[in-house]
Amino acid sequence: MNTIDIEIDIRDIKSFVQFFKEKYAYDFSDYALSSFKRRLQRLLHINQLKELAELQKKIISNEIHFEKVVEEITVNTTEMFRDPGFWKKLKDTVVPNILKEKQGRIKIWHAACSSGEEVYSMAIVLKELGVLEKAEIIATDINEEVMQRAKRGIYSKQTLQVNTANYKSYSNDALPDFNQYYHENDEYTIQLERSLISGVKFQRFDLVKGSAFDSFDLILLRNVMIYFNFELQEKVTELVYSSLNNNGILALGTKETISWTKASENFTLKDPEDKIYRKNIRN
Amino acid sequence: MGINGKYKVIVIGGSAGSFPVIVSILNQLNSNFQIPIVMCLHRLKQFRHGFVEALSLQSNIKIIEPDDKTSIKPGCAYLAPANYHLLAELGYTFALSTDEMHKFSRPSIDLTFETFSYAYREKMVGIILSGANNDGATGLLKCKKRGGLTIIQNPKEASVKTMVEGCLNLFQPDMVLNTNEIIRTINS
Repeated sequence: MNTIDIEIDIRDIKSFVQFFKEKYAYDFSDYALSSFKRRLQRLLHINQLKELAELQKKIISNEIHFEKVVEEITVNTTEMFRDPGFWKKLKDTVVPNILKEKQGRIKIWHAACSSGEEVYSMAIVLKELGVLEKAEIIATDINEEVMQRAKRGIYSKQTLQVNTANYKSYSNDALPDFNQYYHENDEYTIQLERSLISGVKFQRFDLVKGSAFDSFDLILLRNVMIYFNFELQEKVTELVYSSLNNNGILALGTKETISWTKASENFTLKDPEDKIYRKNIRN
Repeated sequence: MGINGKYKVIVIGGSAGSFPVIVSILNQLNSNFQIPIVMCLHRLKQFRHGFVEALSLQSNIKIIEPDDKTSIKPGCAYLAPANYHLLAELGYTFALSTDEMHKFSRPSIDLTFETFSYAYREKMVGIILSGANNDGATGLLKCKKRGGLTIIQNPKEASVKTMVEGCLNLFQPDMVLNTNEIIRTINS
């Protein structure tokens, strides 16, 4: 059976979301419907269930742990140096510009770090600029499980082909190979270099419920907003706004935009192609 | 009655061998063509640029790679961006996703067809062209079940038949047409 053959009624989705919200501290009411439905289809498929009511029963009886459900609902497909051109811009202009304006440490927030690939892409960019020690990186995610994976910095060898190709394209072949940043961990996995991992601070954070906890010079929120509806996008844009320093930078996914949010008038779109925004100076 | 007036969206899926067909279609649309066209074509994610430009060279209508949540508007043709799934929401807006590949593909034609047929029901025309894997067949069947009009490129004409034969293995689409017949039909 194909995941897309599983029919799910919108009313059932709503009652499942309600159940989850009341019983656990997660609120998916403002997730974008189309992709959220696909996550649920997938959840049913991998657990060999036909409908959400069955899933709900299994969660209540703890046959399926609710954190596992959260992990499956949130999309955790990611790559190192996804969109290599974006990372090249970070290295060539975005980060150097921040460094020019900023005295002292620069603060960077990965607001939905997933399994950590973009966090470590950032660490590599900073290392190559010689400023890794000058930076404070905070990585947060809604899901504890996936963040534990991020913390370890261990990745399957299957990911190497994509990650190495992305790195090559980011560096225009001008730098040594990507393999300088990891060593073999075992037959199936690689371990990223310690120096990339040790400076990163991980903490759990839910963009739906959280409020500003610090101010940053750079926030990465790439391919996260696509999973939210208009209302939640509005709310998260405000959260990001209040978490940025003046002139702070927000990077979204290449096909995401905040142009229709009210808060967008407080940002300038610096790079339409890679969706890099700068927070305007407050008058 | 023709396509115009009856349908609100035309969704086209294709892979290897579909590019020249797509170019012919875009090139020969009526100048006042009003139904939005959504194209989900398998493409290499390394080439983020150039595809829209290549298609635009000869197109009669504007071609856009939509951002997330963009409204689906008449008079435009939309191309699924590289490395994203292209989905529809109920309010006729686009939604994007970076979730798992489906049948080794992102964008996946099945997912585009599934979500568009859900949002547009019997107001959708689904067209599957030449291609080298069977992504798209399940999606086109969804379109059929939800009352949409289903068309495949004639396997005799398709330069790679796997994708259209995948459809024929599942069900009998409403129309099996050559490129010029597809163009005539959607212009009607």
